[in-house]
Order: sequence, then structure tokens, then C-alpha cells
Amino acid sequence: MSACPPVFVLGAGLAGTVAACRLAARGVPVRVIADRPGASALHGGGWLLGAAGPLDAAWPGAARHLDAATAFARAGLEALDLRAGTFVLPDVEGARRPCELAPASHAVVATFGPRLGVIDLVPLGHPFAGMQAAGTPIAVDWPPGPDAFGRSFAYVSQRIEAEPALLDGLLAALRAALAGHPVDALLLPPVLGVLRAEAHRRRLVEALGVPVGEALDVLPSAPGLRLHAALSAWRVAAGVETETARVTAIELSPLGVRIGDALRPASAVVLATGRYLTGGLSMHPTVAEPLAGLPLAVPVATNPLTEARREGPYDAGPFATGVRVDAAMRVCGADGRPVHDGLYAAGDVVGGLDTLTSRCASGLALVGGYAAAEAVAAQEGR
Amino acid sequence: MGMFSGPWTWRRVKSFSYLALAFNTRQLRRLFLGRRDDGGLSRFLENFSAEGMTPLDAAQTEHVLALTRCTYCGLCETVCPLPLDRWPAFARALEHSRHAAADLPPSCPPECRQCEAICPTGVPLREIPAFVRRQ
Repeated sequence: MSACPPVFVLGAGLAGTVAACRLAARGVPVRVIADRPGASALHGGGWLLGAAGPLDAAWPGAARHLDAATAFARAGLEALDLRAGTFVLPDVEGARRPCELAPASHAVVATFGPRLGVIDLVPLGHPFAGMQAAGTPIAVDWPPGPDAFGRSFAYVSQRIEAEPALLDGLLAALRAALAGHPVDALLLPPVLGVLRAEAHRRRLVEALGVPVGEALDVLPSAPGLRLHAALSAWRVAAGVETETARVTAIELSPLGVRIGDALRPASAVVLATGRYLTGGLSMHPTVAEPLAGLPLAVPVATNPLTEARREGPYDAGPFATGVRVDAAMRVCGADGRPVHDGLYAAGDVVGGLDTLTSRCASGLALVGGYAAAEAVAAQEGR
Repeated sequence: MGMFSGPWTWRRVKSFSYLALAFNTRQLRRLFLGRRDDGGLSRFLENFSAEGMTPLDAAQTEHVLALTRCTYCGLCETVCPLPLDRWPAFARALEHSRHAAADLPPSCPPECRQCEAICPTGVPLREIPAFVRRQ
């Protein structure tokens, strides 16, 4: 056991990974503890940061950190090849979503119309009609095999990642299908792989001679799997050790995390456990922070039928609650003072912004993770 | 009190008398039977235990809560190497528990826990068939 206990980051989603990798970059010894993927594995592929709107309103310091945080995350998530801009991208169900960052494979399709060929992978058996309305549908007989029917695009992405030879079959099928269709660009469902998706897309562009893009996904989401894989790869590249374990409690004096019967001392703890979905907030019997019983920022109506729904812009309701933080991302008590000098929080577990309606959960995770890491590094004197 | 407003039709009078009868019977049972009156639990079980609707103990309640954490995200499907009709029951199958009661298919190896490892809400997916069969 080393003399100086490490910083523990609880959660391996976007916020936890950004925080851990930034801490490692600043030379702080850090360990990530997580037992399952974060909600970032459900990411649809388009990134909305919302700094000018909801994010900045909920946390006035956000804009100050935003550029540094996105630059840092984009450098770490090279696998996603994120591009900045103002995009309106179609998802496979036909909804058009505004995005500020998008992977290259999504950002390439900017034109809708009859000259856009929309690929329908017939053997999967779910022709997303909304997506096809973006252009001219082209039926393609791929992937092969009797087991394809009913499978999701994310499953096909996993398979093509494991067996890149399948791409040759897709290329041949696309060539055959495109014989009678002059198109300016191709829109595929997100099936091109996980971490190799961008390389696969470039190969299709070279072979077919037209821009090729993918639609954003619905659940289960291939871009979500890509983000999950890219986050894991980033932690490995940054030299951050990730431990698969379930933390049952955070002890405050002295600071440490409890895993089963063992109490592991920590010099600081970054809480990045997410909201309801990943267990950062428990729902039974009441809404609470389960690891340390931390006070919540936005009170949750105990009976939503009798208590009128507040029409606050983004700062009310059960999806805006979470722990209270100060400007340095330290967890605060009801009196507004830090609960402990070494306890920080980042990501969806932080209250004050309804990330469902504001749709900038990834912005909050990026900025919060980065800011928490900066604050911890300053506390550690690095 | 909306319950007592409105026209007093013969049907309504009859319904209220049945309600009064049931209420008074219940009070008399409580008076004479005391703790031996189980509030109709035995009659409920007599009627419904054949259909598997039995009360859950604390551990089982915990288990059901764990299963209902499923958000239908479908990530378990993306990592399962088995063909569609041979999936181990996953949490959605609670709604189709007849299918979940089937054993895990023989090709589902016990050491492959990919579906549980990727589940963002931590549903104990591979325990569903055994749980449904026990009930």
C-alpha cells in the first residue's frame, strides 16, 4: 500500500472518464471504480452542449470550462473523430436532431433530398421508414445469414468490428444495389463497426466514390457502444486503472470508499455515478443519494399527482435533482458549505439541470468532469 | 363528497347496502376473531395461488425490483452471440414470463456474462428463468 492514497473516481461514464483522464494528465494518482457502463453507452451519436442556454443557466461557470473541456475530450476520444459545427442530423426513426459536435460518420450527410440514397438493410427486417423519407430508399441484401432477422444495428456494428471481412460483403452488396441509382451521397444505418467505424466508412467512400454517412441511432445505440468503447480505450491510453467493483458507501471521516467489507482510504473522491438509470440516485423507497446520503439540490415531489408540475425551464422536477455542488464541484450540504474538502461530483449526479429536456447531459458531463479534475489537482498541489 | 351526491337510484341504494353489509361483517369478524382474522389473505390465496400470485418475501421483492430496473435499452441484445430465438430471457421477458420460464439454452455458456456486464442498470439477467420458474 502506497503512503499516499489515490483519488477515487466512482463511475466510468463520460464524466468519470474525463475527470480521471484529466487527473492522470495532471499527474495525480487516480483509480476508477465502476461495475457497469454509464448512461453514455446509450448515447445517440449527436452531441448537444447547450453552453449558451441551459447549461450556462444552470451553472454560470460552465462556459469558462467548456472550450478546455471539449478540446480535452476530443483529444482523448480520437476514435470518435468529433467535429464541431451546427448540424441537423437524422436518426434512424426520421427525427432530425440539432447537434454541436458530431462524429465524422454522422456529420458528413448535410443534404436531404432525392439524390440522397438511404440504405435499407433488408435481412434485418426493420425498414425505418422515417429515415428513408430523407432520400431515395435503396434495398440492400446484407448482412448474410439466417440469424440476421430482428437484430439491431448496434449488434451488426459489433459483428463487423469483430469480423472486418464482413465489410467486403457490404461493399459488394452496395455496389450491386447502386447499379441503377445515381446518388450524390449515401446514408447508412449505424452499422459500420465500433472503434473501427470511421476507418470502415473511409473505405466505403474510397470504393464507392460518394460521401457516405450514418444516421444517428435509437436504442440500442451503435454510437453509444462506440462512446463506451472509446471511453475505455481512453482510460487505458491515459494509464488510468479501472476496477470492476461495486462501491457500497462513501465514508467521510476519514475519507474512503467501502467495497464489500473493505474500506479503501482516498485522498479525494469524485462522484460520477449518474442519475437514476445507473444508480447514482436511488428511487426506493424515496429519491436519495445512496452512497453517502448526500442532500439533494432540487426537492422531488413525493406525489406527482397532487403536487403541480412546475414549468421551470430546465431546473425543476425529478430529472433536475441531484447533489448540490459549489463552483469547484465540491459536494455541498443544505447550508451551501462543502460536506468534505475531498468530495467532488460531476456529470448527471449533479442536480440543478433537467438533462432530459435540456438535452445537454453530455455537455454537463464533459464540463463537470473537467472542472472537478482541475479542482482536485489544485487541492493536491499539482 | 362525490360519493353521496347524485340521484339515488335503486341500483345505487342496493350497492350501498352491500357495502354496509361487508363493512359490518368485517367489523364483527375483527371483534370476535381478533388476531386470527387475516384480513381475507387466506381467501385470496385460495383463489389466486393456483395462478402463481403469491406474496413475495423481502428477498424476492428485492429481486423483482432488480428485474424491473430494465429500461428496454436493448444493449444486452447487442452483445449476445446467440441467434434471436435462443436468447437467454432478458428483462423484457418479464412481460412474457411463459417464455422466460424456459431454461437458458444449452449454448449459453455459464461463464459468458456479457449481457449482465453491459447492462447499465445492473439487471441480473441470467437469473430470470430460475426466478420465474420458482414462482
